[in-house]
Amino acid sequence: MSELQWDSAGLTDTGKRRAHNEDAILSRPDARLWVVADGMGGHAAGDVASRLLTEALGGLSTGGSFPEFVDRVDDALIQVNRDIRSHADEHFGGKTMGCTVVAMLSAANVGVCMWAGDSRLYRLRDGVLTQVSRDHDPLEELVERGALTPEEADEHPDSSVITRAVGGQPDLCLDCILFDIVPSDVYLLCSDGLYREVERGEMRDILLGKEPVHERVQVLLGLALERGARDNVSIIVAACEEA
Amino acid sequence: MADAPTGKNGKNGKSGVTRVHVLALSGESAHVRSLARSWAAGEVSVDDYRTIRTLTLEGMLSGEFASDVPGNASASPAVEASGEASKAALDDDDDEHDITAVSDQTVAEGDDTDPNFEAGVQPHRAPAPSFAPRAALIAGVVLLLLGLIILVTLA
Repeated sequence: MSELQWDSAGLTDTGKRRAHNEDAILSRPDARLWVVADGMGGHAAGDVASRLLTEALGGLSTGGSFPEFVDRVDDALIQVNRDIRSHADEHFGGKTMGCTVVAMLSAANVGVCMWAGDSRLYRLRDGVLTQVSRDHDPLEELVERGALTPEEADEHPDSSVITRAVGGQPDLCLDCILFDIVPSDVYLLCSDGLYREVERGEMRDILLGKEPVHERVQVLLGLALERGARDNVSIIVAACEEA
Repeated sequence: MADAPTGKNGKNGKSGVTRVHVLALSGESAHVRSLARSWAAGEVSVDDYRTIRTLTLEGMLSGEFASDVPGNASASPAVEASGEASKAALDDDDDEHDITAVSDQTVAEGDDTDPNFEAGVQPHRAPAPSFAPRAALIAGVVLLLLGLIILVTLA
């Protein structure tokens, strides 16, 4: 099994319409852990939620085996779910407060994606951009069943409703996907502020570029801002090569 | 069990029972997939699920367990709504635009060192475990659970 080395970079931006940035990102190449969280509930709620989440994961130790580390991330997110709900009860009278999360972890040639909500993980491999995570929204299931076309879903009034979030329910249940990683893979974690402004083909073309990873992140962000960035925009790009 | 809709802007959020499922275990791991589905249906405990996840990860790390994003994941249509998101309606009179500078940790790049997992159990350096006993164990658990489910159903 070949060793992989990673190059990663991330940016989070308020965007053009919002007053505050409720997103948060965490990039821990030391642990091969990358996270994007998109807060909800308004200022002083959404940003608290996303910050609680990234701080919790940022403080995790990497000792033990990789499966144990994955369990610790899982545990930490479950605890954050409780913390967010307690915080909402204490400070916001039980008002909904929470955040989406998409986290990617890696060891050797194996990747793990855990998520709740509509922040996404994409993978670029052999020129093909694949969405690894699946949004937790009412429309995703309808589209999968063929009851809605993606275009109809785009126009649907519930397009911004999500069915799962950290802090959204008493018991957090994360989706988890395990996948192989091969050299030259490029992974993109992002909040919906990116993919609502930048089309998938554009993302692919930018990620295919030979520029350093941090420049590709800046290009992606620049394009979202150029399109009006109606929401906060968060982007992490992680590229791997054979060591 | 259906997910409870939660409005991102908090206006229509409500609590509810969540649905759990695991994706992506393919090939030889079909038996694990079926157990994951049982877990999704609330028939397997979180602990059991974690055991399965650990076994699967160990198998993948040892190279004995081929797994990848399932084919239908790439075909999964993205819901990339271009309509005005409800949460975007918040604070839309403000053009403030600042790129958040994240902490050193969050922007650290290009660290090629391995994560600091314990050397003795560093997955990709550990001796490859034999997967056959694991497969038998998982298959046994699946069969046991399915048997229990059938018994409960019949009862």
